[in-house]
Amino acid sequence: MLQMTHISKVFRTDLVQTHALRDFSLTVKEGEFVAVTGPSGSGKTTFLNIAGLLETFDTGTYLLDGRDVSHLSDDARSRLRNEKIGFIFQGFNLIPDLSVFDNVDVPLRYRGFDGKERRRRIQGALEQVGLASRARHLPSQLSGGQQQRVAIARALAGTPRILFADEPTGNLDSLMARQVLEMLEEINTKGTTIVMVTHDPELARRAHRNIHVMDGQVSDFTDFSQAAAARDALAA
Amino acid sequence: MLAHNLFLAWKSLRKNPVLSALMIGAIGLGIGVCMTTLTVYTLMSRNPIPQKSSVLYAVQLDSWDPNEAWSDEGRPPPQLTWRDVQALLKSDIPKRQAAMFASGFGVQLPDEKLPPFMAEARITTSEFFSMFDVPFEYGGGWAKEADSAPQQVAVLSKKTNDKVFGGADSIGRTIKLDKRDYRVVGVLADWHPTPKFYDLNNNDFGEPEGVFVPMGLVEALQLPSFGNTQGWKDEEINSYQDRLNSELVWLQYWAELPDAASRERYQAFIDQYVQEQKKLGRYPRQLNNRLSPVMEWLKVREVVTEDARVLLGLSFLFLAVCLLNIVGLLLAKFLGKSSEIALRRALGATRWQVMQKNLVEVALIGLLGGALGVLLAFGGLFGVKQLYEGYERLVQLNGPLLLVALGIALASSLVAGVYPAWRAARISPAGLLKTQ
Amino acid sequence: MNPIRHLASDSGPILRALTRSRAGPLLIALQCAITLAIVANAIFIIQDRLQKMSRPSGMDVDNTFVFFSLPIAADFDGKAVIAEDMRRIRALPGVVDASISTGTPLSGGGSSSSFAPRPEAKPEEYKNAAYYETDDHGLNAFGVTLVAGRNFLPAEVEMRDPLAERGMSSAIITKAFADKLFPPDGGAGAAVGKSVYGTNQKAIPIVGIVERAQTPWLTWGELEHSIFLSSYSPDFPRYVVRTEPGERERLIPEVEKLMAEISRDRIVERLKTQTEIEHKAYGEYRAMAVILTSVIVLIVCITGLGIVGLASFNVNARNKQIGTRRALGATKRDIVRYFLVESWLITTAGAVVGSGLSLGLSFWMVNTFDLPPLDWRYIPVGVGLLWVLGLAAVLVPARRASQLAPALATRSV
Repeated sequence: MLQMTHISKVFRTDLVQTHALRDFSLTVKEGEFVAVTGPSGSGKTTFLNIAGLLETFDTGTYLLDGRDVSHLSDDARSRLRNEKIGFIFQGFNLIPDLSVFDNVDVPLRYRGFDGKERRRRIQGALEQVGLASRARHLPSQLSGGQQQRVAIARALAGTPRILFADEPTGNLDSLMARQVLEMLEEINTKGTTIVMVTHDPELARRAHRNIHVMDGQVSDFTDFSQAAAARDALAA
Repeated sequence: MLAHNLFLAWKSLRKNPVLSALMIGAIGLGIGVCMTTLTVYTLMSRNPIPQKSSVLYAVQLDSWDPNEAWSDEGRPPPQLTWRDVQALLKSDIPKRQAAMFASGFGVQLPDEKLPPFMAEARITTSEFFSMFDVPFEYGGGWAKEADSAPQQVAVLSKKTNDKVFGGADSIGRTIKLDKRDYRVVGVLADWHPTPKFYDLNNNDFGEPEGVFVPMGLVEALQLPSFGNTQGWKDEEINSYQDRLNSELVWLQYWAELPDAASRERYQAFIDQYVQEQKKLGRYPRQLNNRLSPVMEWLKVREVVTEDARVLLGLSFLFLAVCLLNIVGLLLAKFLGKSSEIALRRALGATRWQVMQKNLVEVALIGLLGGALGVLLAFGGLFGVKQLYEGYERLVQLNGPLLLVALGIALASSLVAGVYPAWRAARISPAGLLKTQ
Repeated sequence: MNPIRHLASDSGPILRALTRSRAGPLLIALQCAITLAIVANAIFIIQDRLQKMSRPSGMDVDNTFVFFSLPIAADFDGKAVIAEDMRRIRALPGVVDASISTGTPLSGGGSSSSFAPRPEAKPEEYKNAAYYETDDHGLNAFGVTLVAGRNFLPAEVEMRDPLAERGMSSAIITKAFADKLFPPDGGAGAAVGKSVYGTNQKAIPIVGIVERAQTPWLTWGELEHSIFLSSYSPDFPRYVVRTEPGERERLIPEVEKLMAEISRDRIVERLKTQTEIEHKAYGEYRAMAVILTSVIVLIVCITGLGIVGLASFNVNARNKQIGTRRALGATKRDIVRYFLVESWLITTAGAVVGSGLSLGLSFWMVNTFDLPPLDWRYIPVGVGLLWVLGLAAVLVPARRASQLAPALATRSV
């Protein structure tokens, strides 16, 4: 699904240059739920930006869903984000002046769906996150957990192949965080690949696989699917 | 505290130079445009003789056509016939009074080889000068006898005296007007009644005439009128005397009536005069005589041009647009500083203190804008001077108008600033903690 | 997807977002409304003035000049001097013709009277017209075009006593006045051979019709109601001299010198070219047009800058939102389009209110002043201008917004 090889990214200012990623390689298979962890400044946000096509990189190759995205134009990358990728942000990033319905509508309009199709998808996505009755509300009228669920609905409405979640529970209390996480797991079981960036080891452990980033490089793997299988075997 | 707030305001303006320049520029333009039109308007409608304007009356008698009023509004003609003027001059009710009309002379320069130049002249009666508080540089007006008996005397304007006598005291010297000798009895000091209220038939904002000579010369010299003459009656006019006896109106008439009693007596007098004339077969219209004090007279004669009023109205709309503009920009600016304001609030600033700080900034913008506006008004008035002929006297900024300009600038910027300042002051200290 | 469909489909959520963001857009819309009211009315007034200024006076404007010969001696023999003046001026090489007249179009000084199409007419049958007392050279010196009948014959010209009533020998009237006096069978030529009657009931035979000659007064009710009469008084005559093209400036000092040569008992006064006379007559119109044009330019700048200012602020305030939209798949063009549509909606709201305001302002001006009511067609012109302004003003901030990095979406505040 996602294959990064020898990716590097350098930020330059007049004074310093920072190697945000160096020789970064990672493969995520279709249907996987991967957590990317690491301390702040380790490069995990840069990884997310590059993986989500929000940013370009300097060297290396990146295949997304089998397609080389290294040299795509800005417009092509926009289209790809719109069609194949869903985003969930730490700060929810809902547009405060738009209703829940209109927020979910945003990527669908860029997709160019007609009104009927958009309504069907918005309805479906909101039902999936259990907020169909709140379609006319403004984000400010919802709790944090509900807001993040709207964001999830927005990410799902376009039926993406891969979902990038950036600290999805970072601004939520534990109860709401659990709800959101359960929702992500449910989405994953329906076949959507999920890549989640978090600094919370507790959260990371819920993923199939854990990738630890340090100084712009992958430093450690933990495969929880195998660990879980071993644990299950032990328990049995 | 104010000093501190001013310091903060100045720093804040410096921080967003483009936005600040936009706001100051918008206020400045609004004020500049308004001041330009307001200056022209106030000078057009200003009182040319404030100390006496309420006791000086323009006299109108309705001697007009029985079939058609002089104006659509039923007003009497603005000028009088020669016969009526002669009769009115005999009244002793007004404290002072004067009849007059415009004429002109070829004035000979001392060097006889030079061709004479044309000077506008006012033919009038002796009390013209004292009634209108006309200032004299040398000498004075002529004696009352000259109003009825021919005496070749003249009063010169400062400009004419400068031109002919080099500005010297010319009292008693001789000036040649249309090749006749006149004795100079007076030279005026600078005198620029604006508008030229006593005769509004030609140029409302023109200069007073260069030469003044007594009415007593009219019949003897058959002086022509250079002003406006109107008639309605079909009369045989074959001589100058016929013209004087005709129903043609061509003279202006003013009376000084110091109190209500004399005003009423004078009104009764002119009404009675017209009634007597009716018996002689004149005055076919209904009694319609009017006495208009100076300011009313200016209004009746529509001295303030329609264009000036249209422009004044439009320029205040223009100012409104500028102010809306500033409200929007201030709102953007203050709300853009939400986090700073929330921080100040969190650190213990009261709403009023936040508002105060914002208002000082707004006032500073207003003052700077006002100053710019005054500069622009100078430019605007210079432009008006280029565009209109004969407005030279109208387009001078004066002290009171400058104060008005700054006052409008300050007031309007504060009005524009109150809402944004208030909105900003309402930002809650908790706002700082929100991520969105 | 074509832009129009996009515009229509994007408007919904943008409009809903706008109605929630309160004061800012409302202020701009209000500003646009007043701007429209000012601009539509100002353009209308300018247009009205320009149209009036473009009316031909009927004279050969470029090649004529006018002056007074004012006697300053009691024993001045006006008749003899005029005859000599005319003979000598007409003989000058480069002079087409010269004549005397009580005035010229738009000169501000002249005479008028009432004329009726028949004797013993009722008062309402009298129509006012300006009259020019002149001689058989008058038409040619003015440069007016005769469209029917003939010029005055030398025998018809009468030099009357200065103080006598105006001369009544024969008349040449303008087509406009002929149409007014003889409405049913008006038209060039039909009035020739008929007579007009002054208030003294004397018949003045009409010998010719000229295409056009404006009156001396710009604000006169009917600007082309003029009549030439074949008699004049030698008192304060106004001389009209017409030259060959390009010869006027050379001849002016020459004629002045000639006048001094013939008699020093008079002053040549107020010598002006007809071009100057007409320029001065329209001075206030021109000034109004210039001032209003400046007002339009300034107000369009102010409103434009206001839109730029607000849009820039919005771009700054919505950095994160723009990043999010980009992350969700918006192309750069989508972001530009968003701001364009938003601005278009605001200016359109302003235009709707402004159209009403324009009519209101016009209504007030019609009632307060003597102005014609606003032609409604100036409102769409103003709305178009407003749209262009709104889109142009927002273009730079919108392009800046489109350059924002999509990665802004993942940046914490």
